Amino acid sequence: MPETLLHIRPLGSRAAHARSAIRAASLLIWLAFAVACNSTSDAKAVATQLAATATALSNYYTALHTEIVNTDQLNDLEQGVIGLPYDAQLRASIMDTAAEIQKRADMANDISTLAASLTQLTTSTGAKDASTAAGNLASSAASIKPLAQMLSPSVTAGLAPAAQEIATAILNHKVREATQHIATFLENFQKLFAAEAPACKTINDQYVGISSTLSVWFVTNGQTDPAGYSSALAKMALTPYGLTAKIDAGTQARIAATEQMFIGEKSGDLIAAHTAAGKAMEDALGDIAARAADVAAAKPLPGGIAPPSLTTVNNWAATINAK
Amino acid sequence: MQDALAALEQNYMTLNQQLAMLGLNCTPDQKTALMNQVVAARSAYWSCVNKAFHDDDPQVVSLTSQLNAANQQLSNAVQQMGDIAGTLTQITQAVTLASSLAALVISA
Repeated sequence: MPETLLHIRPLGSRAAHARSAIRAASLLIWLAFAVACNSTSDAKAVATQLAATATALSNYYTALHTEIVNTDQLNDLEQGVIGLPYDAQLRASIMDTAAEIQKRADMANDISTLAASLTQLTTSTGAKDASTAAGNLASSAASIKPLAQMLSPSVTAGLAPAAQEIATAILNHKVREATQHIATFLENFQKLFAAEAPACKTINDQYVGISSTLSVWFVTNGQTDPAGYSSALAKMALTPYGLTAKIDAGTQARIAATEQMFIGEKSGDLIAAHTAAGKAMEDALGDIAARAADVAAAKPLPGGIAPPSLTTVNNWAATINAK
Repeated sequence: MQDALAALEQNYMTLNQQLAMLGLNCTPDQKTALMNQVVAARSAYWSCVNKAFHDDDPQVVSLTSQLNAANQQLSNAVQQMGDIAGTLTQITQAVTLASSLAALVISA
């Protein structure tokens, strides 16, 4: 700031001094972040990619949580229509798993908040907000228990300390250290995600299994609406001729076999879609972890390399979360 | 872990997916027996989804191997839909293995 400007500032304006000091300190933090990340654009690129990855991660776990909650309700339905007993103990076990998945969705949301706060370091409360976000992430990470798996203790045990290190480093304006701890956290999270992939797959598979079983039951017992799949099939034949289907019970029964085949095909599609989403999510976590590590090591980000597409993840999650 | 949990899932899903069809050909007693086995298979599966497995435990390896073999026989039996009583015996044997595997995992 030019010296003359300092001289014409009214004496005693402590609030203005304080605001100016905060702005200066914030600018220093942002500059430090930018220097640590080679350039502001690199820093923003990493933060933006981290936010998109975290959103997809949250969508993924929220969809899995929805599948488990739906499974609980489908067990009730199965008890009602087929007579398969469903007791409180099993319900508690299923809901325990749902709660564990919800913790991971919460952790993804905390990562998203952290990523957003990293782009706001120049504001007066930027560093404090980012540190708080990292602290919340540490709390979320400390609460998770591994799903069916055998992990190296360093993976799950390393998540919360890494998040806490992020919080401390940001608060102390040690941005490069913070970035390195973000990379470490993400590397460990990717290992957790990979190790739990079989458990997540089985959650999806059993959901598809129980829903398809019930669908077959409804079809074979004539409990589906003729205005549904049967009518849609007939419509394909009749529409070009301006005719409308009027399906009786006999015809619907004959179409039932086709409907069962459709349920089988659709089940396969749902399982394949989840498998692809899980793979894309794991790749995306690995990519953002590697980019954060590069930034922390002051390596320039490679230009022109698009991050892994998260569309596969978001599309699968949207299918499951759609009501 | 993948093998053990996958075997438990296959056991439960094989039985559950046949429930609507197999039940149609059963006597009331056979249907009750079938329901009990599906409930046990489902319980074994869900009790292990959020538990840690020990793949290096020889008992887990052995039971998983036995359960995979039983699941294969079961899959063949329910597709043929021939001898209901015989199929129920195979179902009971497979689910007993699943329950033993789950108990081992839970106690570890």
